Formats: sequence, structure tokens, C-alpha cells
Amino acid sequence: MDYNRLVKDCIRGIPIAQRELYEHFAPSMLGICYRYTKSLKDAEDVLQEGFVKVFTSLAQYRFEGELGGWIRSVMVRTALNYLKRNRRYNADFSYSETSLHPVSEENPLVILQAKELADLIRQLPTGYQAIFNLHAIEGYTHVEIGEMLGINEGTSRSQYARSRALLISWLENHSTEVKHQRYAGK
Amino acid sequence: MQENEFEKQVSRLMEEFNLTPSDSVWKKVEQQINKDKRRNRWLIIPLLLSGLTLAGYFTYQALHQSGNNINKNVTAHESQKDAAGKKNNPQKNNDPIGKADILTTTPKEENSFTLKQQTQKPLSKLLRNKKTITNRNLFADTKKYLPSPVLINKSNTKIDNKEIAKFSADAEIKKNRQLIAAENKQEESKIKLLDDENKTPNNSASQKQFSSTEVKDSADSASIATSEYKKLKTFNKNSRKWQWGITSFYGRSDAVETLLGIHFFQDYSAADYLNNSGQQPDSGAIRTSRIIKPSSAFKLGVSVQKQISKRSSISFGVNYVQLRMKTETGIMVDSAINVNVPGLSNRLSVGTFYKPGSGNFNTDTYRFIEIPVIFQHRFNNSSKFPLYYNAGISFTQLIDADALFYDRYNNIFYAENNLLRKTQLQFQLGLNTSLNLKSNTSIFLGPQLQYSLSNLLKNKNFGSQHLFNWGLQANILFHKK
Repeated sequence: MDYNRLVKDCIRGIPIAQRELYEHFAPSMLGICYRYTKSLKDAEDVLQEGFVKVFTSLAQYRFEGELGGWIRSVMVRTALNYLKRNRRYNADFSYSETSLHPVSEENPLVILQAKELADLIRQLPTGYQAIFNLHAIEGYTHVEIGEMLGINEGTSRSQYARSRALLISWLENHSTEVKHQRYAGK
Repeated sequence: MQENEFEKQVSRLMEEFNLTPSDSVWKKVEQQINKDKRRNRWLIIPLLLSGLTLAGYFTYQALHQSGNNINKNVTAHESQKDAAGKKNNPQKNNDPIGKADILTTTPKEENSFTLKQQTQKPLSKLLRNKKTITNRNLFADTKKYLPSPVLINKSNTKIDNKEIAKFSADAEIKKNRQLIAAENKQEESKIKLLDDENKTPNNSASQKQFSSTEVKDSADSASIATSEYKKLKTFNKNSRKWQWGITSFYGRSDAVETLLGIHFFQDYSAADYLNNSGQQPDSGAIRTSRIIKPSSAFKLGVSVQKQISKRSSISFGVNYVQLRMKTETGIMVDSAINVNVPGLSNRLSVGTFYKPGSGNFNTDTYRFIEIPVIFQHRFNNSSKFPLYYNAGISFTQLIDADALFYDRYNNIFYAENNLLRKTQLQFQLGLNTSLNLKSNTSIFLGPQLQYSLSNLLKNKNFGSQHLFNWGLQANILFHKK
């Protein structure tokens, strides 16, 4: 697909091009929004808000780097704003300024389907969830996360370590359950 | 490194994680984008209007201030002249305007003497300030304030009421003549009238009354008339000067094959062609005027105008013009193709193109710089509702285009500015009326239409497409003092 042409057409306000862009990126972007929120409805709200931002600020896209990456960063920022703005998330979206926390060494083999893993991530407290998503999946550094969320780098690290440990324990439990089910099934 | 293994696995798994959003999301997105567009449009229009208003206001202020200064100087000069005249010849002025000089009041009525101020205004000033002179019974009005004026000549002999009545009638007739002349703006006849007055003073009754001062009065009258003549001449000279103004236009624009949509070939539509897909499209397969729908058009610029005769004027200007149209197409094909363009040796590479069809509207925008040359003529005599027609040509230079155009030869739509004719010759025609806002500002307002004589497309094989726009044009003109 010729993204440059598509972007130019979208900037010109050609509806068919806008629809094309939306349809191309919406499924993957909804996946991202889903990981940051607690319900599909909220995820769709973030997706809608994010795409409006994408279309209104598409002229700022400099054709450097991947278009998907740029849209993704818009979605992530929109999701974070949504969490901060929304009361349901805001209460759970606080960080305690604690010192560095050692990162767990476990590296379990993830045997889940993507949807199952996403649902596990969504079960994390909102603060943990955001930091885990930002660092483990989006690849932001703790310094960047600190700037984005207005917290210390150390806080980001410790929160991440806790979220990681929590997720790993859930994964282990999950894999044990699966083993039991398989065994029982046999 | 081992630590990252978990993150890598999670990240890889999440990359594959896609969800299909519900249809309502896109509808909301689309709705919101269009709302934003509309909001921007409404933001731009008031900004433009307020900018125009501010510019007009400051210009008016600047011109008005300079006009006041001139008037003050003229009045000061006249009062000095009057004072000097009175000193040398207290019984001056046979001229009806100047006659008020010898009207005095009894001591009891000193405060009610207003006639002098009004009648002392020079004719040129009266002409400029029409509102102050529209009352033709100016002299009659002054009678209210002067219930029993006493006319005194040099020898301090009182003149009775009958003489005053005669004198008033004469003066009123004369004043009415001047006022009528002013309203009709027939400067030539006014000058002639003043010349006649100089040559043959017509208020013989008054002359008889003031026989002792006849010679001096005539001389004085002549000198005043000469000064009025000079002022009128200056006025005429000014009215023939270049006057500048602001031009704005808002309307609709379209691209048509011929003027008034008259076609001389068989009518096909996009649907006709699509039904016969697989065949080589012939020229004329699709009617351009059907595919392109009109949308907004506006222009903004400055102009200069010069009166070339009593009723006619010519104007030049520089305008920024933006024309928009909506092109109805079929689906977008996002793949690069090379198209044959008749007349071009190399094939033209097109990144994305649209197939003919319906349901999808793309907004095309053309931006021009325009230099219009317009002749305007007044065709009625009404001073309250003057009507003008105007006709002219304009040279337009395409500065930017953001448009799809229909390539009839290849039967597709695509954006390729190099195939558009950059310089266009346009014809314009309009009707308007003028409204005087202030003595030095007037608005010419009326419908205007413009048709491009040049084909929008360089290549004849693509068919004939002419820009056509129509709407309301306002031209604010600032008169020089």
C-alpha cells in the first residue's frame, strides 16, 4: 500500500482515503486500546478518539518512519489521556513513589493465545497495566515512561517489576491449570 | 538478555492481537471529522469578516481624519476671508450663500442665529456632506429660528418684512438649484450654473434693494463664485482620481463543459460506461459536468477604480481566488500505473487513481491569483438606488491545485497538476447597486458570474472543462477627499 499517497489524500479530506486508512489500521489499534482499558466499549472509545486525532493531525506526520508506528504512538497517548481523565481509571491510576524494586528473574514460556494474554494484562491494576504495556510491549524506556506519566524513573521501574512479577505468577497458575485440565481430560 | 525473553514473547504475541471494531466507531469518527471541518470553516469566515471590517474601519478613520483637517483649514480660511471682507466692506455679498452675512438679529435673538453657520458652508463642502443639505427648505427652516429678522444694509437702514420675503425667495430658489445640482452630481452643469451666476446675477430684486452696494456686491459675489468654482474643479479633479477599495466574493464554483451547460454531443453518464466495462472508452464517455458538483468559491483582494465619465468607471485589482468543487468517483485504486497521455512522448506515472462511479465525493480545490480589468456603467438615474452593470476580463494564474481531474482518454480520475493550464483568461459579468455608508465610503453589492474562456486542461483529448463561478460580490470603495 502506498501510505504516502494515502496520507496525502487523507490530508486533502478525501473520505474514501480516510476510510481506507481507518480500515487498515483499526483492528491492530483496537488491540492496543484493549490492552490499556478494562472494557471493549472503553477501548472503542479510545480508538474513536485516537482516530479523530490521527485525521486532524495527519498533516504533522513527516513521512519519516512507519505510518503504523506514528498512529500507534497517537493511540497510546490517547489511551493514557483517557485513563487519566476517566474517573473509573483515575482512582486506580496512582503510583507510590517507592525505591527501586528488583526485577524477577523468571522467564516463563508464554503458552497463551494473544487474546488470553491481553485479558491477563487487563486484570492488572491500571497503573501497573499502563507501565507494563508501555515498557514490555511498546518498548518505551523507563525515562520516557516517567515523562509520559509524570512519575520518577525509579517508580516506573518498581511498578514494572511488580506488574511483571504479578503477571508471571498468573501465567504460571494459568499453565498449571491448563496442565491439570489436560491431565484430567486424558 | 534472558530477562528480555519474556518481554519479547509478550510483545510478539501482542503484535498479532487484532480486534475488529464495531461499525459505530467509524461512523462516530467520520461525524467528528466533518464537525471539525465545519467548525474550522465557521472560524475562518468570522476571522475574514472581522479582518475586513477592521481594515475598512481604520481606513475610514484615516481618510475621515484627513478630510476633517482639510475642512477645518477651509473653514478657518473662509472665516479669515469673511472677517477681512467685513472690515473692508461690511455691506458685502450679493450672492445668496453670502447674503446670510448681512442677516443679523436683534440683540434679543442673538442666540438663535444659526443661519450664518449653515449658509456659510462652501458648496464643495455641502456637496460632500449631502445629509446636511438634503433639506431643500433650508432657508425656510431658518425662519423658525429667526422669527423677525431685520435686514440691515451698510447705511443701517432697516428693511421691512416684504423685502426680506423677496430676498428669502430669491435665496431659496438659488439654493435649491445648487442642492438639486449637488444631488444629481452633475458637476459640469453645476460649474456652468456658477459661471452663469457670475456673469448674470439673477436676483435683480435684491440688487434693487441694495443699489448702493451693487458694484461691490457683484465683485464680491464673483470672487466667491470663483472660489467655489475652483473648489468644484478640485472636487471634480479628485473624483477623477484613482480610488482604492476592497473586493470580496462568496459563491459557488463548478467546472462545466460549455457555458450554460449547452452540449452538442450525445449524453452518456458514468453508469453507461460502467455497464459497458471492458470496452475501450471513447471520448465523451462521461459527462464532466455530471461528475463534478459545485462547491464553495471565494475571493478577496484590493482594487483601484477610476471614473472615466459621469456614469462609467474602470477598475483593476489583484485578488486571491479559491474555487472548490466536488468530484464524484468510484473506488480508489491504490496502485501505480503508467497512463498514455496524448501529446506526451513519455507515459505518465500515476500513484493512485479513482475509477468512474458514484458515491464517493472528493473535494477539489484550485487557488488562483487574479488580475481583473472591469468596466462598470450606471444605467439608471435614481440617486437612491443606482444600478450598475459591469463586465470585464481577468487573467488568473493557478498557484496551487489540490484536485482530481477526469482523464477522458484513459477514463480515470487522478491528481496531476502538470496537466492543468496554469494561466486562464476569464470573462466576468455582474449587476450591482451602490450604498453610501459614509461620505467617503461606498459599497457596490450585487450578483456576479465568471466563466473561464480557457480550458482547464492543457490537453484537448481530455475534453473541455471550464471553470464557472457565481455568487455575491461586494466592493468597498474609499473615496478620496
